[in-house]
Amino acid sequence: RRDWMMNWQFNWFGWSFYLAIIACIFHLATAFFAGYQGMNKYLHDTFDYEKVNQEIDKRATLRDSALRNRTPPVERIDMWLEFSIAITVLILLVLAYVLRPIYRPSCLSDLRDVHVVITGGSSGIGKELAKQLLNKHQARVTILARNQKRLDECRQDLAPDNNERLLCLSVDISGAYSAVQKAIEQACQYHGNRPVSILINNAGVFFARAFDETTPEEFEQMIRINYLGAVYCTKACLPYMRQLGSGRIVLVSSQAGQLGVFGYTSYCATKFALKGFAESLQMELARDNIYVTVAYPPDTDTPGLAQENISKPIETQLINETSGMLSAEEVAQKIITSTQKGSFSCWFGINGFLLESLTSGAQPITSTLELIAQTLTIGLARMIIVGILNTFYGITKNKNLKKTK
Amino acid sequence: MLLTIILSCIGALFVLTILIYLYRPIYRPKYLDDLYDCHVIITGGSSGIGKELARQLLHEHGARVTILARNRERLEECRRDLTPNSSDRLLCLSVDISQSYEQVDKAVQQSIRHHLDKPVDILINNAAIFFARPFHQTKPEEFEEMMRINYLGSIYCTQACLPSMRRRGSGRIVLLSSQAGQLGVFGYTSYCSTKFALRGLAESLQMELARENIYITMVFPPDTDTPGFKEENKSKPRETQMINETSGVLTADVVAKKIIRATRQGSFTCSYGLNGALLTCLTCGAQPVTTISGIIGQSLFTNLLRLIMLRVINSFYKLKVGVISLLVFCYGSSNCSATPLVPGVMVACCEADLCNNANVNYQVPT
Repeated sequence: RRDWMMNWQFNWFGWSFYLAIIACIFHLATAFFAGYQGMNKYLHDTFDYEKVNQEIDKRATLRDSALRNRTPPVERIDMWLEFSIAITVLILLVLAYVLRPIYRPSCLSDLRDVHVVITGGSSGIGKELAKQLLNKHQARVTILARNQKRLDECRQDLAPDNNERLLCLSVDISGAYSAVQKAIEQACQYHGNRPVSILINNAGVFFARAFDETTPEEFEQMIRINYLGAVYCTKACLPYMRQLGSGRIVLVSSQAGQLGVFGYTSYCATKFALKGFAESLQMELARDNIYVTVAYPPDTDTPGLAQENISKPIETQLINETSGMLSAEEVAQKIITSTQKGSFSCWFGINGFLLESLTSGAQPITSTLELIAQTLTIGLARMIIVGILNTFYGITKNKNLKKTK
Repeated sequence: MLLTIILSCIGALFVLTILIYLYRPIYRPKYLDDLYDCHVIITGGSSGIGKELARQLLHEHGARVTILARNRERLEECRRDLTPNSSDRLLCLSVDISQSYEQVDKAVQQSIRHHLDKPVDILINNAAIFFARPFHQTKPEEFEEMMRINYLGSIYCTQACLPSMRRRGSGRIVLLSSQAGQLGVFGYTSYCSTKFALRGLAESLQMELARENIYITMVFPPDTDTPGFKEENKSKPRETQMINETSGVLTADVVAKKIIRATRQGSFTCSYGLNGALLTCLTCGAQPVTTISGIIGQSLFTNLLRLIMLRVINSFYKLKVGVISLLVFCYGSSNCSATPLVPGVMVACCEADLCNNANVNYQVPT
């Protein structure tokens, strides 16, 4: 690999840092040497007998008195140890108090008869969420989706006995705000005038395509459905949550919403936008007892993913193979747990944990454990991700060579 | 003894070299020494930061500048201001970049033809609108408009300029984000999302363009003294104002100078002041780096910065929750607390009694 050597360009900062490290190491070595030699020199050159004898007598008396009042060394060491432990614990306590989670959502353990609205819930993660909420938690679910046929199939699948806890409405959430408002109103009325408690913004389209092969209309469509749809639904549900006095808003982002990957220019932008939206929205809603959760699932085994895989560029495929695939069931279960706890972010697996602590940035935390875990792993995660990014860029550069060959 | 010291030094250097190789910067952009006759397109360049950029590029570097903006009168004013002798190095085109891609494409083609068929060298996506408003007071149409202008406008311009940059074999794309694009703040629900979207676009686009020698720079200026800023200040919610006062206001020429320098270096981020540098280091996430010092600095300091940032965020939230923290210094009747974090970074938080609309005045101790 000689190319990195030939393209090597240290800028002045890098040089100075490198030189500073070398200088420090040599400085330590020479200081040790100089001290040793200097002491010798002192003893040979400036030897004053009178002074030295007086010094010896003084030190002898000191030594004798010390020998008499000597405390066992073991106790002294213990004292320092206890002292340092006490100081450390005190510092940690002060830190824990100063950095305590600023808001602590109460855990919604009982979801029975809670009104949940799921957008894009006719297939994939949304459908799994609806299934678990209906069957395990006996919640009341409203599914908003576009395709009427898929909605009917979904209804038959989830509520074969015509369960009245499930309502399926066909609405395009990216169309007009009034349509969304009407749909939410209809849903609340249907479920016995229950205001919306939990909103899960799951509706999203995704495909992977190189930037120049993506048409401007596709950019617009993706941002409308993924981002504006979530904004409209949130806006429509907020009055009900305020009326209820509490609420949870879930935004289903993606691991592509934490780092940018080849081929996902349009998708990454929309998922990053959801993250920015969540951070500022949480600051506004903290006093209203409404908590925002952002979920970052990796590739999930859904019909949408199967659709995407058909037209994925080769580089994206190679990059995605480095992370695994989850089933929709696991993803849905973790999302529901995080929503119940009210934590700000929901990550999946060890990859997800590293990415989460890496991109935590200025996000709020809801538990001290999260704080400790994030603080300890960020530095390491940054180095790991730089190594990973190197391989990704290497993949994309390699493909270019293959094509030109 | 001497031998062990020498061996350990050599061993440490060896490990260091291996680490530096493993974590070498991902791509190394060439420094653009000479901007003379460079073709630069600046969107939203008729006022504010864009105008300053155009001014510096025209007068100090002798580049060829095209300004795309909507408002014709402001464009005319700008033209008279920047080139009183009607030089042909400046071209002002009136186009709405958020309307449709075809308009933008036509404008870019016209600009290339005007500037003697020179392909685009640098594209600066500066056009943006911003206002601060609580979420429930923002209309759905405003969300859409902001996303169109801030995000889709940049996409259209980038797509229009890329073919000519590819033909040339090199290029620089600058995306003007904001410090609100690094952390979410009260009152900026629409604005933060658009600026975060630009960041996602930049990260994935850079991965696609690295092999083509086109480099993206993201700029995170704090509040800048521009007409747009004055306009925004008229209707800003009080909480947002208090939060924004923790970071200073910069002048447009300082911002523009740093942008030009970062573009020439090709670095991925451009931040201002100590606050900006710390914030960029903290929110670096999965961004690419172009310098070794960047990697080392980020790995070492992000942990501590996360703790500091949590303290800062706590103080932002406390504007609403109204809890007095342990490190509160109360000044007389007004309840104020200022927490020194690092030398030069001061966070002032006020316990605003919004229920009684009490008088809120606070000072930032120097």
